[in-house]
Amino acid sequence: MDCSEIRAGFIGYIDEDLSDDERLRVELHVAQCYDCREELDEIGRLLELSDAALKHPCPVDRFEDLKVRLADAEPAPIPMPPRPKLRVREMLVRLAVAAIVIALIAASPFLIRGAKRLLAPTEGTATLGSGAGVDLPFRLPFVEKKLKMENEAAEWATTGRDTEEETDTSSSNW
Amino acid sequence: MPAGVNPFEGAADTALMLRVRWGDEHAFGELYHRYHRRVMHFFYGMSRNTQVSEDLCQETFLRVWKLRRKYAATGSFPAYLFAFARNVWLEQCREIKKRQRMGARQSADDGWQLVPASRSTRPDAVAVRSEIEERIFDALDELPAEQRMAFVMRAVEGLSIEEIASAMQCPVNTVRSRKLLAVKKLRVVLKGLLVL
Repeated sequence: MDCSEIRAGFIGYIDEDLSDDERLRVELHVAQCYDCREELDEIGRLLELSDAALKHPCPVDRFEDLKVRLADAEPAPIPMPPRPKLRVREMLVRLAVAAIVIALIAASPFLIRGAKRLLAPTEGTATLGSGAGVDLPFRLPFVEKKLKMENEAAEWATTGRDTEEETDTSSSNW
Repeated sequence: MPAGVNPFEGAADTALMLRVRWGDEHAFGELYHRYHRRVMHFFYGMSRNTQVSEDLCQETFLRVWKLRRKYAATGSFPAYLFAFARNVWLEQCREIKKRQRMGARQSADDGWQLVPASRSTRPDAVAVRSEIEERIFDALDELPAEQRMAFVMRAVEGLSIEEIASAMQCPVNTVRSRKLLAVKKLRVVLKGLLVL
């Protein structure tokens, strides 16, 4: 460690601000370096003189004067904690979400009515135990399937006996 | 309790200030007695004026009392106190500059007036100080405000470098460099006067 680095720590050494290692380094160097030792002494004397010069020559205890003023000094109110600032983007997202929720709530009666219409049966289509059907330009898949099953059942009901008779006749030929 | 016994003797500064927060004037008095000299030394080092340093010391403690409810017991009390002292000093400097800009003249009825960065005109002060002390103050007058404050604060008894950094609201290394620069300047100015 060179002299310039050691000398940079002289004030800290005098003020006892250095760590134990730093203090030891300074002491070891100063013990071996005459110039640094002289400079340390000079700085020490300088600080000693300035410390004495900077002191108030006769500090007076004026607490009694201060006490009179304490009664007039109202305590400052406890400040409220500052509200956290929301980023603009976060605010816009919150506003958008709120708008969507409000729109859904406002449109919910119409949505419910539309859903009921979709589920209600139309005229000529399979009834699902609900009220009178409503003509629709399309049929839902499960309605289609139900109609097909019913048609097949009806067809079997009308053509099934004929098929059995033919079968019996064919069996009697054996 | 026997007369003359100080009930707060040995109490920690933080504990006293917590009592002050609730309006305990006796605890506040104890803190005043512990620290008023150091605060006066600080203002004397900055102003070179005994009367001004006493008045600013009073102002500092008055502010601590007024803002006592904001005390959060974080950090050391000396750092807390000298942060107030620093603010009081900076406000006074701004006030002086404002008056100078407005062309205000000093008068006896204006209350106390700060004598910033110049030789005190009080004859008794001049008579008392030695030539070396005058040269020290002259050298400090040439320093930037923050360097001067760091150097003056280091002269306050019992103030660690961490407390100085906290009061000045800057890093510890900044305080070290300001002190170093101040000492370099002083060495140059006092080179011929110091008996080595």
